[in-house]
Amino acid sequence: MSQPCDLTMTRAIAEMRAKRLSSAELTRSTLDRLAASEGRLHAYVVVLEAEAMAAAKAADAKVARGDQPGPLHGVPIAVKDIFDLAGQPTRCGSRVRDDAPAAIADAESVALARAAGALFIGKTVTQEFAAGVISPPARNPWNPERIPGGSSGGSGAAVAAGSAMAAFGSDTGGSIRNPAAINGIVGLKPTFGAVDRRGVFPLSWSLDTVGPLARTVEDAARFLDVIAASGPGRSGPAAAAPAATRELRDGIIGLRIGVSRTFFADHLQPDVERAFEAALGQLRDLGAEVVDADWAEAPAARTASFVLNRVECAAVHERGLRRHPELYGDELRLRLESNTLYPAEGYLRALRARALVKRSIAALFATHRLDALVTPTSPAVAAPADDLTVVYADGFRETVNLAYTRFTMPFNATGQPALAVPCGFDGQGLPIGMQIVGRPFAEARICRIGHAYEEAAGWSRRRPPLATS
Amino acid sequence: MTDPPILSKPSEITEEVVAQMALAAGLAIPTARLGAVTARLREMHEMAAGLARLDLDGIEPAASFDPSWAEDPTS
Repeated sequence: MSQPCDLTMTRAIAEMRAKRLSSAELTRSTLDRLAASEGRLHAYVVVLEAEAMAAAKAADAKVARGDQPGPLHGVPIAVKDIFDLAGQPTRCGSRVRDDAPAAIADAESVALARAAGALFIGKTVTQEFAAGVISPPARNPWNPERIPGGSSGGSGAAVAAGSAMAAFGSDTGGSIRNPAAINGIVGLKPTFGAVDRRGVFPLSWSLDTVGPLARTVEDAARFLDVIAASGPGRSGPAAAAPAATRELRDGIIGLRIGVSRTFFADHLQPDVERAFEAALGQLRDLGAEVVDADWAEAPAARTASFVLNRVECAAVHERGLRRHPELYGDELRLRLESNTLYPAEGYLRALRARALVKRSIAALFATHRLDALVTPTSPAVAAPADDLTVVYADGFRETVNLAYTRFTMPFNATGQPALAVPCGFDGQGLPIGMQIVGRPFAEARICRIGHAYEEAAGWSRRRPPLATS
Repeated sequence: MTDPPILSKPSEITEEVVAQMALAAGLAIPTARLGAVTARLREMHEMAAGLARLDLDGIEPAASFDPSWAEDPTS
């Protein structure tokens, strides 16, 4: 039977405003789901039960006093453990940060959510310093033998299971979008710079973005509207907050949606290909014009993104690697050691290539008069935790680290906003995602497309077994 | 006549080369790890090889990335 924690965030807010549901009831339900699922999911590094319940009761008291509720009033949200949350250490999933002190203030984006009335139920598992897609020990609520993707894997698993209404994630190469796809939920990577990154541990300065994971497009858009709000001292190049909810109800008749068969149709699992093609058909049925728009520079965009990501990550950890290399996990240490030795000329070439690919994607959108470009979010579904190589029908093999970021990384290079929405399930009941990529700061347009598709397709209404058993 | 390679060929990146590069960078890589680090660095060069084929003449690296599309590039 459905519980309050199974409501969408938008519906829960409406129920609370109508005084049919209290924040205490919603938070208790979310904590109960967490208690029931966490033994198999391991999505959290810390659960703040007492703090969350106290905040929920305080939120209810404010409503009882007649105070005007904020847009996230009384909503229990989870925070990836690379974000500062006042009073809690930010451990980033690494032994390097075992002795990290409690943060004295919230990250800027977390502070905006708190000011909007959100309460924080706990901090979620991340791949070590957000550098990877496996997120151990977290598991996937659709099948706990499988990984939840990453690096925001704990956030993805928690939102899908109902142990958080929504969650903070970060996306440098796909770390919001791939766990969204792999866990059957929605993830919204905003335009580079649209959300303040202060108080979030960096992975790669020139690529990092902060955004929401949620159960529906509307939930993600509402969340983004809160955390993208302008504030004093805000960092990043964004000129204006995206207002992601602005076009949600406008439908998609006449919108032009591009599909690049170049690069984004390579090496797909067959069920992913079928689900994506079916989604294109549904977009046409909804009135959109779906047009071929091949982006020849997509491979270069992926490669530029990859090089920038790896080299900047090595620079972030330059001192740590020299001081205490043994504290890093094997995979990250190897990555840091090797990329420290990558030549500066190669890094600069990637920066120059980034300028080229940004120009090329702008030209593609202009030439085809596109509102958005759509791709599969990931070429593969959730991998078994004990077999992290994906093998495709054509014999091509790649690690999940490369597979899950293959279609997402290009848009970290271009800095465009990108939305991951569920678009089906494979034969084993594992979720599949579609990525909707927009013009810079056009979050409203991609959320409009995602919302229309989601309402028609209904995939977001399916819940994983861990949320219903 | 073909241009000389922009960066090292992956096959030229040996454990000895990596050990010398690490020494120059002041990075202590234990001998037991050299093989794995070398393999990973080769992979990085292989991955990046495609960028060396791009014509980037006249394109400057941006020190700070701005995602905006300032103007319609086709106009």
